Amino acid sequence: MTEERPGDESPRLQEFQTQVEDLRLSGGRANPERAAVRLALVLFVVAVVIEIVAFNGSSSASDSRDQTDFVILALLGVVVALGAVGLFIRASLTRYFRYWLVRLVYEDRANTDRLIDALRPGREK
Amino acid sequence: MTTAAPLLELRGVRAGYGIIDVLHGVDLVLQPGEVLALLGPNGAGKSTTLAVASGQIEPSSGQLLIGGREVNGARPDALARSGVCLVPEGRGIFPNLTVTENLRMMTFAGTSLSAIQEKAYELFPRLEERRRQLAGTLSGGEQQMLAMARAMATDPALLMLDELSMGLAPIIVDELYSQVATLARTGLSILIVEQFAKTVLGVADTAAIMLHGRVTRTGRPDEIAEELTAAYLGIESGGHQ
Repeated sequence: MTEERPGDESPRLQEFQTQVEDLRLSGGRANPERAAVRLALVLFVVAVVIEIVAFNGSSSASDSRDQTDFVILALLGVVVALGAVGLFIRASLTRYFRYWLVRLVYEDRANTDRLIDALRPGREK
Repeated sequence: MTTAAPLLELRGVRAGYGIIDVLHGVDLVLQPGEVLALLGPNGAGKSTTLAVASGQIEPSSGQLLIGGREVNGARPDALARSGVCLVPEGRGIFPNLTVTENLRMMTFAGTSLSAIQEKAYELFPRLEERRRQLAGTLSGGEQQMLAMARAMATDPALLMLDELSMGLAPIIVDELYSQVATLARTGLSILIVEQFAKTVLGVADTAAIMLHGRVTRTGRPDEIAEELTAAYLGIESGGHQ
């Protein structure tokens, strides 16, 4: 078989080559949930910094129009914080449910194997 | 293949699970239309190599090349859709579903169920007799046939078989490997991982021995057969490639 390689010129292999060339690579994102959790934590820190800046700014501003700007900045900080919390919950739940689903599949498979084993003819009770 | 590039190539691949490295620089080449047997004792890293090749585990360093293109970081489903197919250890069938329902699961790629069934039953006529039977109630050999039939339903360009013979009677293993040989004659590239070498060496064009996360020897099956005993006894071969 070593000498003959019927697959060398096959249309399927050429098609495969094209499909592989068209593949989109995620490169370094093998664990997207972990990256999302880290991003959420960074965003949360950013939100806290925004809130501190807004609080300090509004405290030192005497003009109500300047204070309004800082209130808007503070609201932006709240939005960033809510986004971070949402991202954190989503990524954490995804990890958990993935694990849960895999566990269910394995347990289900093990239960079926036990059931089939128990139903096998000739098995002593 | 339009170029002389190997269908699958691993260059210095290191990979593992979390902080534990299992592969310590694996180099492996599978040419188009070739059958490569990757042999080695339990824990050598054979299944992890397949997990890397199928995109399930991303290498921490080194290169995974398919058709000459580096595909580190490619999603496993994208690789599967393009034609990289893995039959995992333990067969990976759905025991609670019937044979037909298991085959129906392979329609994700857009192939109709009738076309999948036609191909599956042509390869393994016994499955047609069992088509309404729960997959979990099939014999071990029939389950492996179903797993292979499911894999072939996707029209793979690269088929990877992990421990095909595990838990099966020798006569069934021979039957399965005769089907593997038939598939190989069609030009399909096949990477087979096995602990028990005798049968797989009969259908392989090339064989490689893997020990402690490295491929320590690659060669013709007859050459490799002589070194296997030493490998299983834990004696490292001096003839590194």
